[in-house]
Parts: sequence; C-alpha cells; structure tokens
Amino acid sequence: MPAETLLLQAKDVKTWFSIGRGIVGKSVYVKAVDGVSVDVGKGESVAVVGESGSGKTTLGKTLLRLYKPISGEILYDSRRIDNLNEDQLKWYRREAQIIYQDPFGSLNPFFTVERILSEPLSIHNIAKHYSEMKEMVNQALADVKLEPPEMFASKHPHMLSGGQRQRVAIARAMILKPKLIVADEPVSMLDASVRVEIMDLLKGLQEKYKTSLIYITHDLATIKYFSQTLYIMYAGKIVESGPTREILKEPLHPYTQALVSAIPDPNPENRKRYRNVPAGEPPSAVSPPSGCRFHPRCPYLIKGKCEVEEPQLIEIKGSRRVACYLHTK
Amino acid sequence: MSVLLSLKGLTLYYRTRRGVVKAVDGVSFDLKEGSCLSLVGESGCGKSSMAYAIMRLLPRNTHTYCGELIFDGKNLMDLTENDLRRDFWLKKMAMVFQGAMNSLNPVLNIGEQLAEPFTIHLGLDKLEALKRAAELLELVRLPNSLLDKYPHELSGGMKQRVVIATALSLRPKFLILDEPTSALDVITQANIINLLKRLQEELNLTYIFITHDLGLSSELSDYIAVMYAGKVVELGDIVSILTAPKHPYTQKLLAATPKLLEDAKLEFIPGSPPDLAYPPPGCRFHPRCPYVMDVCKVREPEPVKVSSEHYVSCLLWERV
Repeated sequence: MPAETLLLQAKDVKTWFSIGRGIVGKSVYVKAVDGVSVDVGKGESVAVVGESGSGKTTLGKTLLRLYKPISGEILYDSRRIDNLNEDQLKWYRREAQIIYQDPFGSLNPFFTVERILSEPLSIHNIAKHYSEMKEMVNQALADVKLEPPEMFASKHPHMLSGGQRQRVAIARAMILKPKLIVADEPVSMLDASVRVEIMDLLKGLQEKYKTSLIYITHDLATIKYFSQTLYIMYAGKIVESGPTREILKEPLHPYTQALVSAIPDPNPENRKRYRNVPAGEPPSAVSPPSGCRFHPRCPYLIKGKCEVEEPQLIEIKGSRRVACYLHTK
Repeated sequence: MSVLLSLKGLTLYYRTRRGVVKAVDGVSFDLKEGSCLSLVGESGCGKSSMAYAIMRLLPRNTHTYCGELIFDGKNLMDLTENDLRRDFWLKKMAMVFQGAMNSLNPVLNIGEQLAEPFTIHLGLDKLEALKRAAELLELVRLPNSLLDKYPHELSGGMKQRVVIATALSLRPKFLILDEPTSALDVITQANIINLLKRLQEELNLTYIFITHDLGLSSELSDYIAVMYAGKVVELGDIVSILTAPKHPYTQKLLAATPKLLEDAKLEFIPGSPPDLAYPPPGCRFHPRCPYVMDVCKVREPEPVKVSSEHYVSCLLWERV
C-alpha cells in the first residue's frame, strides 16, 4: 500500500506479558502477540479473526497503544507511536477509539448517557461551552439513531437494552470523530435481529465519516459486511491474510479452512453430516508448539518440516499471504 | 416412533414487582422419541422458561404453572417433587443449563463432581463411582487424566463436555440443552455439536435444543419451534421452517441470519420483543409485523396446519 493512503502500519509487533519467573529464574512470558504485521489504509476496514486466546484482542489494544509492545514498530500517519509515553499519546487517544464487546460492562453505571458522551469532549477540551457540548452529544445520539436524543441523554445505562447500550458505546467512540476505530466483537453479545441493525449502523457511520475500522471477531459469518481485508490469527501469529471474499471462497491455510467449515449456515442438510473440524484446543501462549503453531492439530502435517521450522507469511498470489508449507515451498 | 413428550397448554407465569410476567403462555406440541426439537427466538421470549416448565424446575416466584405435561406416559403435573427427584430428574430427563460450564465447583476435582450422582442416587461406594465417572469421560471423548484435574485447568470446550457428561450420568433418554455452545469458539462449538450428534445416535437420546442461532439449530434438529413473547408462533420440520417459513417473525429471523457465501442483504427486525408483563393484545408480534392487519390487533391467532408437520399461528394463514 502506498504511504499516502496508509493510516496505520504495524511491523513485526510483539506484545508479551510477564507472568513471573520460571524454575531457572528466567522470566516467563505469555506471548499474546508474537510478531504481527498489519496495514490499515485510510477509510479501510480490516478484520482480525481468531479464536479466544489467539491474541486478537491484545493486538487491537496494542495498535491503540493501550498496551506497549515489547518490540516492533507501529506507525500512525508515518509517526511512530510504539515508543511514546502516556503524555505524548494524548493526541493519539483523540484519533483512535475502541468499542468493546460487552455493552453491560463498558458503560459507567453511575453516569447518564449525556455524561458518558460528554466526558471525551471535556477531556480533550473540545466543546467551548455547555450548549455546544449538548449539541454534539445530541448529534452523536442522532447518528446512532437513539432518537429523540433528549430522551436518551438523561438515562442511565441500566434503563437501556443491550442494543441501545451498544449504540451509546458506538456514539462515545464516534463523538471525537476519530480516524481509527477498533471494534472488539461489537455484536457478539447481541441477538441476531439486533446484531444486523448494529452492524448496519456501524458500517454506515464508518463510511459517512471515512473512519478506518479494525473489526476483531471470532465470527467469520459477519465479517464480509464490514471488511475488505482479513487477517486470520492463530496463537499470536497471522497465518493468512488477504481480501475477505477470496479467503472465504478459497481458504488456503488449514486453520482458515477449519474456521470456514465450522460455521453453521441455516441449511437442513447440516443435520445429516458431521463437521470436519480439527479436535483439540489452541495451544498455550506461554510455550507455543515448535515450528508451525497449528501443527499439532493440522490434518496435513508434513513430518520433519512443519514441527521443525516456522513457516513465514509469504505472498502467493495478488495480495494474498499465507504461512503454510502446503502453499510455500 | 412413539411420542416421548407431549405438552398441552403448558403455562408458566412469574410474579415480579412489575406484575405477572407471562413467560410461557399456553404452549402445545408433541415430541417423538429419538428426535430433536430446537427452540429458537430472541432473548426474553421465554425459551429458557419453557425448559424450566418442561423439567418442572420452578423458581420461587412462580405465579401460575398449569397445563398438561406428559412425559414417558406420565403426567408430571400429578407427581410430587419427591417423585420427580426419585424417578425422573437425571434418571429419565436432564438438562444442560446455560452457562453451566462456569458453575462447576472450583474446589472439587472433575472425578469427584462426576462421581457425585452415582454416590447420591445409586448409593455406590467411592471407588465404584469413580470408575463410572471414568466411563462418563470416555463417553464425551475426554481423557481419563482429567479425573484429578480442577475446573480452572480445563478449557471451555472441555468444561462443556464435563457438564454434558454430568447430565448424562444416570443415562436419561431426554436432554434439554440450553445454549450449550454460546460461549464457545466456532471450532470448539462444531466439535461439541459433533459430540451431541454422536451421543444421540449411540444412546438414542431425545433433545430439546435451545438457541438463538437458526444456523446452529439446523445442525441438530428434526423440528424447529419458533418462540415469540411466550408463545410458539411456528412449529415444523426443519426443511419447511428453513426453506418455506410461514410466520413473518420466522421469515425475519431467517433474513437476519448471516450466510457465509451468499451476498443477500441482511435485514433486521425493527423494535424489540414486548414486555412479557404487558404483552400486546391480539397477535403479540403485530407491533413489529410488516403485514399487520386490523384484526391482528384484537384477535389472537390459533395454530393452523399448513402441511403434515407444519403449524403456524398467524392470521394471514388462518383466512386461506
């Protein structure tokens, strides 16, 4: 991607968490993100997909600099942000926002909706006076279709339904008109019917304000509504990346294939067949398997190769990349 | 196949500060032995309450509980709680509760938890019970080495398998599964569904599978019952429901389910399910229904048979 269209670029980012010392006195780390490179264009929407424990949330939070990576580079608009401290990051907090998964836990229960939405405005000194702030809050509520805004502004989170709370969370993220939003499973806790409504809303706002979106999820079925580009993450590594539609149509990495085949479409034929998915669980992030991290569960294991040497993420055709010896010799 | 479970006008109301909540309101259906029925619908439409009503596991604030509940030839309504405990719960009917994997006892190891039903119900000694616990682990395809592990050492998928094993400990023939995979990852979910399919074949189990995901329901079900605001609004075999849904609510639910490869635009259902303390008069779906007629606001629809195993409660279908 040419530099002028690039908003965020992560190069070989590692985020490890220390969990004390092992028996020989060496520090033991959870390698949540272990060498990940991601490009996000201006106004582009990318998805990071993986199971729980794959490190996708840690990656999202590292890109927002809520975590500090232990190595690697993160460039935002060609400025390095991976080595800045909290004070130096204040401008970035305004540019980049997050939407959390759980709208029941992410809103302060003691605040009214108005206070929830006006807090970012006062922290960043954006509204000059009360009426201006009020106007921005109302606009943000109207943006997320909580209308009439006056009615919702005075409510507390417990008076709202799950879908309405998630709208407030979206409004809070959007009110600063950020250039980048990380949405961490924003619809996974909602009912199917509400889910579509929230996805439409988020997508509409993203297009309206030309915001870049990093959509983090474990649900492949919802990503094509959001994202042109897809990164598949497994045990702290990207195992496949490329255009969403191409990957869904023809997944190359065995792990991606498993993810795709595990998704239940509503089809009466499902009743009769067993899903062809690998048994077992994602590996521990403290001591991941040698070589390819998927090799203990992989049905196409190449003995003497996959468990010895780690496959690199290599471009194979067009903009598709995969880290697997089946495709990269 | 004989009918294992038959409901007629099963009703469960709760007493709350807001008034009487009509969680299950006159539900009738028959379930054949060895088959699986899915209960689908949005949150708050009474799916879990229906499970409690069928199991006769009633919360303390029960206001009304009535109707006919015939299981295995006996009307459970006539029995005392002691009868149920002695002859039915766990022995003939069991339930995997929603989120049960997070309510395993953290200070007991898996072996102790799995052995408990055998010591309590069958009076086995500890060694014998542990042997049976090991068999249970084998049944759900978990290694024996888990017997002396504690819940925190297990992954979500393993915990869910342990919970399923507990429910199957005394070999019931009927199992209610309340959202058994909703907190799991897709691959783990697919593995659990595979397991449930195998168990059904091996043990000839009858399932009621509660989910809000129509895609997932198609994995296990022979029949699907769509619930809305305490009522079953459509019930039918899986092919009819998924390919020719009749009730506007079912049609909307299907249109809101994402498909992996199709590009159809997803729709959503405006509004939200009604407050079950004050459900709307007439058809309960009428405030959200795109085809609403004046009569829908006053008259409650009765189930209409549209084909041999397909019933719908909608006035659009009553007229033809």
